[in-house]
This record gives sequence, structure tokens and C-alpha cells, in this order.
Amino acid sequence: MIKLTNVTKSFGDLTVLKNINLQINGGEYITIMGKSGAGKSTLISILGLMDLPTSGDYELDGQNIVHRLDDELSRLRNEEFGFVFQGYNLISDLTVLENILIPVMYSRKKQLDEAYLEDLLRRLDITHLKLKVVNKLSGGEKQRVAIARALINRPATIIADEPTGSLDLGNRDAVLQIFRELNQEGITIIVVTHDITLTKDAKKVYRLSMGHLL
Amino acid sequence: MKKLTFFYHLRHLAKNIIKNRVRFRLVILGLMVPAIVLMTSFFVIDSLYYSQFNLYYHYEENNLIQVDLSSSEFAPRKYLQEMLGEQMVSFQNRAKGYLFDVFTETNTINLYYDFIATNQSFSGGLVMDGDYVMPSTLVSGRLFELDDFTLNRPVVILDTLSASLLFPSEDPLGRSITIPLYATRPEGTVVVEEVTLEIIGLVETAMNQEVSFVEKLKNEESFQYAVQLYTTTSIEFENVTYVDDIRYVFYHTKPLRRMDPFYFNGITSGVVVYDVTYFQQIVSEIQTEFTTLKIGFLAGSGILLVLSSISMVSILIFAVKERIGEIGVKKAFGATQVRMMSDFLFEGIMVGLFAFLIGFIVSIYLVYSGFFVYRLLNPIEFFYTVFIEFRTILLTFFMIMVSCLTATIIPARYAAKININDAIKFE
Repeated sequence: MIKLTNVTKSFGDLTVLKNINLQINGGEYITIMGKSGAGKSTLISILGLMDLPTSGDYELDGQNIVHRLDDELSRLRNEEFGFVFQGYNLISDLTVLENILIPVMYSRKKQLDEAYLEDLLRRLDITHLKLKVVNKLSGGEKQRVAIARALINRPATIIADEPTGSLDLGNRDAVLQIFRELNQEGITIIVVTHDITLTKDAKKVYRLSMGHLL
Repeated sequence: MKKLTFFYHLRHLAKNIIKNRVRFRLVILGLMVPAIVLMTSFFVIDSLYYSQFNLYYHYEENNLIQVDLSSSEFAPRKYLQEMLGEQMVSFQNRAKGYLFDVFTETNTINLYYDFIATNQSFSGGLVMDGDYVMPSTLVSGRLFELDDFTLNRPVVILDTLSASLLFPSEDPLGRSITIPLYATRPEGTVVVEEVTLEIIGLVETAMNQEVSFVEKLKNEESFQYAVQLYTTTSIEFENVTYVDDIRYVFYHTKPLRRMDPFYFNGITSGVVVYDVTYFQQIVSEIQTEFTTLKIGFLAGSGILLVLSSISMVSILIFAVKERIGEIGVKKAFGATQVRMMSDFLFEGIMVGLFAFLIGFIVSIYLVYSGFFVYRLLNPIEFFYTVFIEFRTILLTFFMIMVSCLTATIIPARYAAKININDAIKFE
């Protein structure tokens, strides 16, 4: 469970998030919508522990993590979260498999469940691509690789920032179908988007406007 | 999994090197050059040092003392003979072959002398500059006496073999032999007219074996040679192709106690001062000389490495900036600051290792090929062998690694401190 209480985030004089209160229960599928500059990315950074709030509290499974050390936050990111970005953020000169294994490389356990990996590749239909260099893949294939990377450490939560922003309709539907299935398996899905069509599967839809969550 | 992680990073590094070929080539070159300078110079210096050390060690082991005759006009034969009596003194010099004729009214023999003392062997017998050797026992007649030299008497001592060839049915004592004048002469010998020498003594034949001097030398084999004729007078030699440095003669004192070097000074007082150098002194001198050289090359390589490190820092910072997106992804997926730093340090170390290995191979190639070429050009006097000192390899490795780590720390820290959000957006 993720719980934000009175979270404010400022960059100098500019306050991007103002007193955000948000609770996301395990297994939920939520969408956060907002226009460009509304603070979506900042909120997602805070939710994904990539940034800390200027004030307010962040509880993850009942533990306040605001004052945790950077290394501890890295460990939590590695074990609890999977990220899917609009621009895929794959390392272009690595193969599909090498990209997918990045979270494993930086995990403390460094244990790879090969059966799970094979299952993941099959499920996302990228088994045949695993030795290909990612810069030779199409947008849809890249996003499926990014999803596989997000899932490789079996995170409790997937945070997706405009996950379909660079995809055509066919690929968009495929990605949404994957999210739907993952959510049915109990994984928390947080999608940040400005595309209203991505809200149809969400159990809760939040709107971010002028730094306030509505 | 650890193996997987290692190869994962190694593959990633290889891909980065291929991707940023020019930049990494510059870094590797920058590290390689000082490594080559350091290793090549040290390998050469060590090889020269140990070869000379071995040579002098051989003298030490055989109780040889080195007497510098470069400023002397007189050979110390008479004094040595006085001192050693019938013990006979031999000295060695490095020279090639001597071919000359000795004849009487009825017979002529052709004497071919091979003279060499390699660092493997020592044996006596050479007539040079009025000096003489007699590494054999007197059979009949007498040895040289002081007046033979001071009065410059034309006398000679023959070995029994030469005597029997020249005088098959006569007693050679009191007879004469003639050594003709040759057109060419080795540098350093005294020019004389054709000489007729009276035979005053016979010694046992000192011919051990027939040897081909050049072949033996090429094969670095030790050998001994024949001494058939001893004279107080310099002889003109024909077909002399080479006379090496005749500054040094080595008096073989093995059967005797070690001489006080001032003993020679004492007995030659007022005539010649001989500089006698002992093993420890020689070794100490070459040690000082080579250590100074080594310090010079070490300093030069160190300066080159510092310059390389400085340029490596700027090159790697540029490389980090280019990989901000990648760093952001890795940090987002759990890479800690320490892990980010260690990733870049790993890359630095691997690049350093690569540069070191190439440098090592190039240095070995340079040293061996250099010695090979020099040996081809100087087949006779060349007695050096390549000596690869492990400490040099270790020192170079250590210096390269320290430079790499130092040069990588700043870019690695920079990478570790990069803000994830900025890095993700960069992508």
C-alpha cells in the first residue's frame, strides 16, 4: 500500500505539487490524468521513489520512507517497483535480454528465475527477439521489452508514465491488455497519462491540476 | 549469477568501446604509451644489467681480477711472472682469429689462433702488445726473464707440437724462427719488422681442441684454444678481422690467493699505475648507473601517465554525459550510487587492463626484436640476453591501475550523483 499525506514538492520558488493526499491499495489499477506541466511526472517520481517530497509523508506498506537513505530507496525501487516510460528508456546498444536483466543486475539477491524469464518473454511475445539489439525493434516491441524489464523482479507495483504515448492503436491495445492481465494477477498498476482512453480499465481515476490532486 | 554480472558488464563495456571507438582508443593509447616506455626501458636496462652482472659474476667466481691497461704503456708480464713464477699467468682478451706463418730455413707452419673469452668460458693464451701467456708447463729451456723484456731480446718459447713440426729431427732450443711482416695489422699491436726469434724454451702443448671460433661464439659455447707460441715481441697478424677492446686483460689468479690490488701498484711503482677493479665495485657501479637510468624512465613514464590521467578524466566525463539516459535507467531500476560508481570504476579498470596487456605485448616485442637486430649487427661481441623482470611488470600494472582508478573516480562520482529524473528525461 502506498500512502501520500500532505505531500508538497517545490523546485525553488515553484511549487509543483501541493498537499497531495493519495492512498493506493495493493492490487489497485489507478490512472492519474493531467495536462502537460500539471506535475504528473513529479508525482510519479515521488511515487516511484525516484524523488522525495519537499514536505509531507510517504508510507510504503506502513513504513515512512521519507527519511530513508538513498541506498535504501534504490533497494525499494529495485524490489517493489517496475517502471514503464513513454520513451521506453531502453539502453539502445544492449540486446533485449540484457535490457530486461538490468533490474536483476542491481538487485541484492541477484537471482534469476529462468523459468519466470522464459514465461515473461513468451507472454509478451518477445522470445524470438531476446538476442536482438533493441534499437532494431519497432515501438510496440520496445514497449513490451520495457514491460518485461519492469516485471523481471516481480514488483508489487508497476508505474507507467504515458506508456502508450509513442505507440499506434494496435500496440496501445496490446499494452493495455498486458496491464489488465497483470492487475488481475494482483499487481498494482499506476498509469499517468493525458489520454482518456487509458482510464477505462482503471478502478480509480485522479486528475492533477495546478499541483492539486482532484 | 556473479559470473553473469561480470560478463554482462564486460559485454556492455565492449559495446561501449565499439560504440565510442575513437574516445576509448585515445584513452587506451594514453595509458599504453607510458606503459610501453616504462616496460621497454626497464626490460632493456634489466637485460643489460643482468648480462653484465653475470659476466662479472663469472670473473668473481673464477677469481679473476680486472686490470685496466688503457693508460699503460707496459704490460705487467714481468712483474706477474716474478710473482707467479712457474705458475704461469694467463690473460684473456676478446678477439677473433689470427693466422700467421712461422718458419725456419727448412720448415713453415701456419698458426691459426682463435682467441675469445666469453662469459661462459675462460682460458688463457694470447700474444698481444708484447704481452704473453703461458698456461702450460715448461718442458725444457727456460721461461722469460726480466731482461728479455727490458732489453727487448728477440726470444720465443714454443710449445712442443710447433717445435716438432718446425724442427722434426733437431733440438729446437737455440734455433731461430722467423715471423714475416704482414701488410695488415690489428689495431693496438706494435708495428714490427719481420722478426727472427731465438727459441729459449719449450712448453707443453696447450692445444685442447680444434675450434672454430666464430661458430662457437655464435652458439655461445665455451671453448678453449691452443697456445703454441709465446714471444716477448708483438707479431703482425694476417686475416685479423676483429680485435675487441684491449683495454682490459684479466689475470687469472685462481691457483693463488686473491691479490691485494695495491700489490700491482707497489711492484710497478714509478712505471705504471694499474687500476684494479673488483667484482663488488663493478657491480656497484653498474647498479648505480642503471638505477639512475631507471629512475629517469620511471619519472618520464610517471609524467606521461599523469598527463594521460588528466585527459582521461575529461574524456570519461564526456562519456558519462553521453550515457546519462542509461545511468538514469539503471538508477531507476535500483542501481545505488556505490554500484554506479563501481560500474564506471570497473570500466576504467578493464580499459587500464587492456592498455596494460597491449603495452606489455608491444614492449616484449620491441625488446626482443631490438636485441635480435643488435645481435645480427654485432654477432661477436653480443652477449646480452633478454631479462624480463616480474617486478617491472607488476610496477607498470600497479601504476596503470592507480592512474585508471584515479582518473575514473571523478567521472564515476559524477555518474553516481546524477539525478534520476533529469537522466530519464534526457533519454
